[in-house]
Amino acid sequence: MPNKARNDFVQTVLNRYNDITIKALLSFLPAKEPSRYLYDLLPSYPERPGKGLRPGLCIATCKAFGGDISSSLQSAVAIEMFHNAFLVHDDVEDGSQFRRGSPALHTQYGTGIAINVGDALMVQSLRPLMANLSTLGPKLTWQIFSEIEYMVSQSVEGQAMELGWVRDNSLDIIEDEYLRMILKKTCWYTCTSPFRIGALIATGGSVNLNRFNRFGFYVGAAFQIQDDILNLIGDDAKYGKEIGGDIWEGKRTMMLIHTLQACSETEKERIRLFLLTPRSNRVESDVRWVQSIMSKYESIEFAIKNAQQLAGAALREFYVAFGDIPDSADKKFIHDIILYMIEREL
Amino acid sequence: MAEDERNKTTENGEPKTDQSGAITDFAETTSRVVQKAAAILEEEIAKGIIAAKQVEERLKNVSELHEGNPVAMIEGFRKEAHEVAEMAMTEFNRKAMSVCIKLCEPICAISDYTIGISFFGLSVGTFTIKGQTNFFNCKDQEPLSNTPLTQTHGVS
Repeated sequence: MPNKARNDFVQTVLNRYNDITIKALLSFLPAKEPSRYLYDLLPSYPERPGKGLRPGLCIATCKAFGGDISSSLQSAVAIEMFHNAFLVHDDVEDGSQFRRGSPALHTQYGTGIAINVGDALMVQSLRPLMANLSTLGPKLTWQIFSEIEYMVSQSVEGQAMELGWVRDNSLDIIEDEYLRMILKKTCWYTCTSPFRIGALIATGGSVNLNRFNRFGFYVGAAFQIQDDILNLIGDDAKYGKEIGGDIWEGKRTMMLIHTLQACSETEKERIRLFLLTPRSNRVESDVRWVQSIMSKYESIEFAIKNAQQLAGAALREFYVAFGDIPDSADKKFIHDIILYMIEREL
Repeated sequence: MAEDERNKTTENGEPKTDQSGAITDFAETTSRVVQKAAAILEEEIAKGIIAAKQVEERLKNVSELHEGNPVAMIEGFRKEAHEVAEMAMTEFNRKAMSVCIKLCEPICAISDYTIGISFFGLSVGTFTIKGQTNFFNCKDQEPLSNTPLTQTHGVS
């Protein structure tokens, strides 16, 4: 059983920072023409219920290092807006049907409009970063831009790796490649960059930001693997995406990679043919069969164990990243979120 | 605290749950997946550092500029300006130019002028052009001065 008090505390802090961020984010979105197929659609994903993990980590890190919400808010907004832009494009790229409990944007308005809305969110993400100039000054603004540039580059590189595996129907991916992919696709922009940017703002750059790299990777990797696990065995009402969606999409998750390494040649060939079939032609019975093969080779248990090991490493690394700063509610929040992410059901 | 008690609580003194118990136990060891993750991270950071250095060398120090240090920027500008001038001169030398001018009147002119370029109130460079330009026979006309036929330019 998860620790209720700890998880309630984390959830409360996340909700508070998420509410502040989304309110500020919406204030940055223009209300002008063309509205029907562009500006009216920009708030669509940000207004849906999300965890607000990335802005929460950025703001909490800033506060833990002695900064305040107002100085980190614009950067937190930019990170969250980039995230929403990625999600819009990600849903198109993966052919996902649902996002945060509602139909994906491209299923409502078509691929072209969805891509354009994603592009517009990317562009709008620059505005809060530019607004940093008047509050943080040119030096910090430039450093934050550099952090964001690295973060976004890493994300698209990781996404390219994953999309390439699907396109090439790669079956011989090893765990190292998977870890590299999630380091790039998820960990930088979900954890490491929000930590780095929060601390950068609070300290004016006086702290060595590389102290967050390992911590961010371990937390982010544990988060991503847990996300993949929930995609298989979660409650769809809580999870907000279709359960088993990763199998439908042919995603190379840690579970699938483990299964492909453990299964027989006959089973591997059947998986290969399934993955070769276009998503629209895949059938439920085959998706269930792939899931049963994953269960047969205990690939879900393997992934759970890896996520726990990475979370354990994150707990240890927390003291490298945050050990030398005074105790505070925000520092506790960052510590507790490690276990929360592993125990979460959404 | 007794060993049994320690095993039932986390570092913060909270009771261990199934998950948190497993995770806190893992915090005391370094597993294979964590070792791999650490190695991959180091590799990626090393790649990033090399790429960043390459970019850095090609960019001016923007933070110095923003801090209001025009000297640093002018030094950068001078370097860039030299590169641009060199590229332009190379291009100029490569191209043959044909000139066909039909003169009705003799042209005989003395040049002596200097062009200065300043940036943020600081001198970046000067170009001085001096000399006598003759097109056609100027013997009938006295030059305006005895300035030798020279043409110079320089960037200081």
